[in-house]
Amino acid sequence: MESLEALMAAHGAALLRLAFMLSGSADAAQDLMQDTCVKLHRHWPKVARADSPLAYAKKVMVNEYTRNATRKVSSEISVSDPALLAREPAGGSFEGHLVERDRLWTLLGTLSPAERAAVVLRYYEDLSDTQAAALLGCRASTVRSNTARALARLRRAVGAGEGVSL
Amino acid sequence: MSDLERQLRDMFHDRETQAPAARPVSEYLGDQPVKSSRRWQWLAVPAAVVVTAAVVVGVAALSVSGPSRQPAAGPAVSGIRGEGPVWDSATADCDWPYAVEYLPKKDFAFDGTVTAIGPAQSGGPGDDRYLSAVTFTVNEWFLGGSAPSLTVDMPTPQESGSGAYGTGTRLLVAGGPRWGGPDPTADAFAGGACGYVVYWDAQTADAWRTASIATGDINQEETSYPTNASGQTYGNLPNSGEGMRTEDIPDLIGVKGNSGLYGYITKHAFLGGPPPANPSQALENQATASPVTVPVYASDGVTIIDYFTIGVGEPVTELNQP
Repeated sequence: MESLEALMAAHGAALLRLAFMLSGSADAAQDLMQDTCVKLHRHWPKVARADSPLAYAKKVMVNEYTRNATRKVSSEISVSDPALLAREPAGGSFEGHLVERDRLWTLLGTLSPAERAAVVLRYYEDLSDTQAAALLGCRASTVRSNTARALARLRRAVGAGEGVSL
Repeated sequence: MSDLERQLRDMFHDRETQAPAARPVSEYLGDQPVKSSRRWQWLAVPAAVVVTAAVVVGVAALSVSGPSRQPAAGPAVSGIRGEGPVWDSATADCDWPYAVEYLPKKDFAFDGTVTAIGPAQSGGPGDDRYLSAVTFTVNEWFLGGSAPSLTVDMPTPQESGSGAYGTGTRLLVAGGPRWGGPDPTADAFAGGACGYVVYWDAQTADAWRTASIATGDINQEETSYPTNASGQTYGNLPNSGEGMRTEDIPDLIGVKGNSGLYGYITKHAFLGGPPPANPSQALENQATASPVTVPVYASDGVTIIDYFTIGVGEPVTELNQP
């Protein structure tokens, strides 16, 4: 990869989508993208030598996200309002599923950065525990435990609400 | 896979369409308005820098997709002076936000006067349009170097306001090798946004000197003292020099002067002459010795900044023991 510009031209959209899934909002995603670009720019010779500059960039992004423990994990609520956090019957309708997913998206904001990163890498990036661990710089068992903790937390938050089978 | 896991996949898939669009790299590296939530890091430079860069090198040179990145050459404005940090660091996100006690975290620090400004030199394939290579005549080294001059890549100067400097401006500068490595001044870089580029004043220079001497060299190995332009090694003595061999003591030894300023006394003054040939001579020397006041130098070994009185029985005399 000859330059950061070339990397971003090829993979900027994918990286920004990852940033969005991690951070939970468009503004926070752009901030995370900026942090990542600055880091990549600063260490470009090392990035360029990497086997996969894209994987390197993702690793930088995930680490930037998890490193900043104080980063506010915000979530946009696009369907209605914070009432989504309350139990709401999803039912079997299409609209019901949308509400469910919106609620799930909102509830991701209740996870710790490490838990959210594990969930995003496992279920958005579709990585194995081992692959996710490589990006997170931790052991696969840590990814597994963070994922399990996140899922348990989501289940508890959603609860056994009416019509919700999570 | 559980229902929840499936729903997570579906949910992420749905959300993809709501992700924002990627911006040009140049925007991420610095030419956007600063939002309250946005955290500019050391490579990010104030928007005003970009404006000046556009004036100096032309808009065409600012095109990210251009065939060549033409570094900005800063305006050669002589004699610009100011107070405090050269750049406003309020919005910077820094590993070590400016505080004089953090100075030892830097790889180099010096007091220097700008003599030339040209295109950035330290860059790899990245985008260095907002950087300039600034050559300094070094008035005094605090950390990491000894050469009489140094060229540092820094954000391109402004003619006024935040970021204003030019030839003739005297600055206190701290930074490090841009791409890492053992040489503190290789591809020297000073971001400035974190406040480690400061207009010179005597008080701040004293504070930098104090910080660098008091803690900066304290962890150095005995054999890794920096060397000044005269070839003298300088630094503090670990553990007050206890157990050190005479030959391992640097040529200039960090002390706190009588006026409270930190600097260096010479090894010769420190040792007080040749070691005693035998115990009798040592006792005789001790009996006849009287306090002696010696100059305290800057790290150049030439500039006298204070004086230091070596008294009989002070711990320093113990260092004469092999």
